[in-house]
Amino acid sequence: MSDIAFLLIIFFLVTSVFIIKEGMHLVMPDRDREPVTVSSADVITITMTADSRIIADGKKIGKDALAELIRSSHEKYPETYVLLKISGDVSYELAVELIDLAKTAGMKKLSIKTF
Amino acid sequence: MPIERKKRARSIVPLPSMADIAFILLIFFLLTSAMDIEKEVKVNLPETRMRMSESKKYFMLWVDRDGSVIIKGKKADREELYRAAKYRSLDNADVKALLGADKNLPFRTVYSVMESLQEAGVHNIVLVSRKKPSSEK
Repeated sequence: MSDIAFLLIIFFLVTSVFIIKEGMHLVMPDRDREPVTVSSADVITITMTADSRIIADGKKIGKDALAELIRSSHEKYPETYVLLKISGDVSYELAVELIDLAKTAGMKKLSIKTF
Repeated sequence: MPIERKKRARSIVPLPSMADIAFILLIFFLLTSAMDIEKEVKVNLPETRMRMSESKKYFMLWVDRDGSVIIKGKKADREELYRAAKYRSLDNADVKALLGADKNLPFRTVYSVMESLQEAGVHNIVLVSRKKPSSEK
């Protein structure tokens, strides 16, 4: 009986200690530091409008095409930056989806802006 | 003459009372862990594929459906949020903020919380999410 009880105790201890939160990691820049200047040729600007359309470099684009665009340009020039301009009216879910898309496509240099 | 060893009384572990202790401990841990779970705010988390787990040096904050920020189970206004974040970042510059926000919120609301954190010196933000089912693209 006491064996069972102690097993249960260990079980609950272990499960309660390891409540791990999972999520997407973002590093925000330091406000006091000088902003990094990059040439506009190295930047892909992706805009998400309030009606949740995705516009990359002036053209409307689908999610798959966007992932492909980011992946190919990242492979060609690893120095590429992605500037995500996300409308403040877009739902958080869609915004996170877009950031996730850019991150899974291999983009590490992300800049997020809202308007 | 052989030296006779004093016979020691064999120590016994009283098993029935041991089980009692175990059960008391069990009930204690059950109750305390249940209290921890209660602190979690029910929000509809977004889904992502890119995920990392966090286990140490973080503090949790929630943004619920109405856009109000909840820290340690209490609603906090912008001033309180800033102060809480500042306190954490002064204590440890690498502290991570785990931000669990409702997915139906406008991005503006979440972004302003992120900006407040940034202003307070918390630069590592984890957007808490649920795992995206791999079949879904």
